Amino acid sequence: MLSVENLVVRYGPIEAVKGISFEVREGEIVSLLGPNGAGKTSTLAALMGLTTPQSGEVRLSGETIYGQGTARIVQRGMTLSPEGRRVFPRLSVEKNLLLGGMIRKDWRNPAVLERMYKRFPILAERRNQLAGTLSGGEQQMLAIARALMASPKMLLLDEPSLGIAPKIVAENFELIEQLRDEGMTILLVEQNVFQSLSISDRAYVLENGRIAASGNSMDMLNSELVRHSYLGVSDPMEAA
Amino acid sequence: MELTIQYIVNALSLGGVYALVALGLAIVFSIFGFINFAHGELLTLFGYVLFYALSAGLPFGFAVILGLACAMACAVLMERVAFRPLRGANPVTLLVTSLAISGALQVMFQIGFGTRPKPLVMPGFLSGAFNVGSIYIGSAQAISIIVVALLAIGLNMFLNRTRFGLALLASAQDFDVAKLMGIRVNAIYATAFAISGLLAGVAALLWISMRGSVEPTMGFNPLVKAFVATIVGGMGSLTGAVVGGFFLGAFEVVLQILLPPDYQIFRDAIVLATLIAFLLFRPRGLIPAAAMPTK
Ligand SMILES: Nc1ncnc2c1ncn2[C@@H]1O[C@H](COP(=O)(O)OP(=O)(O)O)[C@@H](O)[C@H]1O
Ligand SMILES: [Mg+2]
Repeated sequence: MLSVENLVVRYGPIEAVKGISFEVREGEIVSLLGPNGAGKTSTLAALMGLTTPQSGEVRLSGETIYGQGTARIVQRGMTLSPEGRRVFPRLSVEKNLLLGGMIRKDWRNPAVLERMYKRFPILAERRNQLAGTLSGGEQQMLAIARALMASPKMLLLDEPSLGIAPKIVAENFELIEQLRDEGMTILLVEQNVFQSLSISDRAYVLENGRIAASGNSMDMLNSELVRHSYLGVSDPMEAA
Repeated sequence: MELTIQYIVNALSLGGVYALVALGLAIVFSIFGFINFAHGELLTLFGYVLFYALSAGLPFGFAVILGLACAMACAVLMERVAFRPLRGANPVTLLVTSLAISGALQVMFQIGFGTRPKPLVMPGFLSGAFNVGSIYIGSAQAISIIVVALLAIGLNMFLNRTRFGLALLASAQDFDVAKLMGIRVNAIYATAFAISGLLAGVAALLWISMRGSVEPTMGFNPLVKAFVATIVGGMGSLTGAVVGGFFLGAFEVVLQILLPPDYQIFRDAIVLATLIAFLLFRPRGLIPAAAMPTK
């Protein structure tokens, strides 16, 4: 579905992503893990065409999307729920959702909204409220729902559990699994290593802009190295 | 009673022009967070295009359309050449840039067209007047009130009911995330400036039909008044811009009635004092933008 080769992202003299390669196959959840400043957000920004391209090759369903404008990439079927949620605070919940589905020909179709409200009843309750007045967890839900409104085939999630109450974090992970079960392909960026590995199929660990480890999520969950360096615990059950 | 209605008509027509100019300022402000001081020169540009088009013998309607097209093109050009490269810069930088553009354009007008006012005779339907009962209404006044009402309603519908309107609101709030919604933000920005140019052109038409001439600095007065109107109404709020424009129009008419003739020269000073009072005591205006997202 998504393949990335030798992606380089640079901010002036700083090379944030130093030529990484990875792929996400259709129907998979792939985790992109790593500490703060590893280059995860920069990678997603480059995939979405938000940062000016440096070098590399990015393909979505076999077609090159590298260097194309963000609007084009969204049209091709890839959307991002950005880090820190970034809902439009001074617009209503409903307008935020409408914006997410803006590229659709039937963007005003109430059926599309209703389907989303059915999945997220709390958003239906708050549909006329300004998005800025929602709680952090609700805003995160809104950000994911907004990214789903365009009916993407490839969904990018940047730290959906950042700064959110543990109960909602668990719900979020359930939602992500559920989306995969419905056929969505997902690239999940997280610092919540244990839970991400638990729901994902495969994982890559990014460190200082390079891929430091990769493999089957289950294997990584059980590997001593990953447990020590990235989970920071010896027993993964403790982390849960 | 009749006199009162007469004053209301005056206030509405004057306020309408201010409201149109203020709307143009507010649209740009709502996105970029700065007051485009070169907006006044869009009015002047419209005036000169109209003047030369009419002198060249073009029919009035065609000359107006040409003027509007030029004002829109000039606004889009400003965005593309001057403001887009500064995107993300401090609003003060943008504001100073717009002042520089304003000054440069004024000098160009002076060099190109001379400093003396050029008399512009409007066709009869704009310069005439008619009586309703015993109330005397200038047709420019009547047309101005109608045009402003239609434009304000039309713009409101455009912004609230269309894809473009929603995209504009989003682009104003978060540039990158707007892109993530699949919005071509550059096109949205260009369109926003084009709309501000259109509003400036229409305002200029009404303004010129009230004053009857065109000169290089003619955009300055309505710009300052509209600037006051946006602050009185609430920066960045489109409804506030319209309210502020009419408030200012009414205020000036009231001053005209109340001030003895010898003191009329202080009218502008009093208007600016009101501005200072608002900045001191109600800096977010009558209808603050945050509480009122163009609804
Ligand atoms: N806009 C930017 N300008 C300059 N440096 C940046 C910018 N964004 C990120 N960086 C730098 O790039 C590196 C990677 O950041 P980021 O991609 O946000 O990491 P992560 O999402 O993994 O925490 C960091 O060193 C960060 O300081
Ligand atoms: Mg990040």
